[in-house]
Amino acid sequence: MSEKILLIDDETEFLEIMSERMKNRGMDVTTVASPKDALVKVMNETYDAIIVDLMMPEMDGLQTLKALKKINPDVQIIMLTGHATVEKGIEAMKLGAMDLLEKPADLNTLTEKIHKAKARKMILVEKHTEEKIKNIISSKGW
Amino acid sequence: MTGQIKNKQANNGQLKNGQVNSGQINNGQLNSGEHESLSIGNSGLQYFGSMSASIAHEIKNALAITNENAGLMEDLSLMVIKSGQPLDPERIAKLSRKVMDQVKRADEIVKKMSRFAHSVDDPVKVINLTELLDLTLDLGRRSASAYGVTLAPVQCEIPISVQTNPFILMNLLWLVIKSASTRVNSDKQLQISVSKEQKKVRITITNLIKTEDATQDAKKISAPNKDEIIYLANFLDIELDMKQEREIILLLAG
Repeated sequence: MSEKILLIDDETEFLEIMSERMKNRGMDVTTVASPKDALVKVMNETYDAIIVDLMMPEMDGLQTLKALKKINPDVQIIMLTGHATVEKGIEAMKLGAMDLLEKPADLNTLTEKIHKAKARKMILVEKHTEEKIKNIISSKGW
Repeated sequence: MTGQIKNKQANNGQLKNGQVNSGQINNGQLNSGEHESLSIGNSGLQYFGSMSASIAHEIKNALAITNENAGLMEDLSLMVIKSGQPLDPERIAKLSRKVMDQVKRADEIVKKMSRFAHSVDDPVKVINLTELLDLTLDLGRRSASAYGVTLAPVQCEIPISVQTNPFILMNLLWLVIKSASTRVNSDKQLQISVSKEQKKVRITITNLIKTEDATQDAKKISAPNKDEIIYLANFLDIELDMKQEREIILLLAG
């Protein structure tokens, strides 16, 4: 099954070309240029990985990260940055980012991280399913 | 603006009401190097740092797009090897044009970076004010957009030259723009115009509202230190009026 990806960056040309390359690798990619649009997408859809630019107008990457995690704490977020500072990286990881990659990113490295994100997400989904089953069993008293 | 400090007093290194207090003033005079270092101060370094970071981000974005275009060309070549189908020459030409566009974009950014870096070369210089304002706005657009504010192109009908310290004027203009952003009108666009008035040059920043009427988003922007703004204006002999409800006015000697 292909990885379902949400790519968020204010550089539309970057979105266009990156999504084409990812689609060529069999991924199902949705792109948005505005963090606010991304929040709407995440409210209505689930993704295996969300790739977020760290510096955007309206709402920066860290604010976007916080807002996405608030909507769905299980989302796997990979931050992309044009000028990574150690502090920003640490802050992003503390806020729950799965990983951070510096632009220009190597697509093979990014693809590996996407695979890891999908695996983590599947573990979380299985864990939640298991908990739900346990709750049902205990509440029914079978 | 010749390296002499006029009407400014020393006071334990503290900054108050636009007075300079270095504790290093000898008989009211400093040499131009000392004078400039003192004036650039923390806000100057912060300005230089934040603009450099913003430039680095822009260059990285151009590099990222170039990288992905090159990567796509490589992907297409591999697909040709695998499938044996010929490459579409128009597709390759389109990708090459995109790479060239990004090289041009990065080159423009580097030119601006170079002009910005050279703004500290001379303590006093005759400059084209519109060009300096354009550069200040171009460099500041990404930072302004981070807090939701857009900067309209400078409105100026005739070329205007002034003699000033280019870097300190850019720093002052940026601090004033940032301060104006905290009370920008609901369309969130600052308008900047330049005009000549007898022996003065007037820079006006408009589309402002009263501080108390500012939007919640605008109120969240951390306003720069007013003392720093006043100090830089005094240093450049600029009359600064930030008390008007709908505009901020800077009057420079023309």
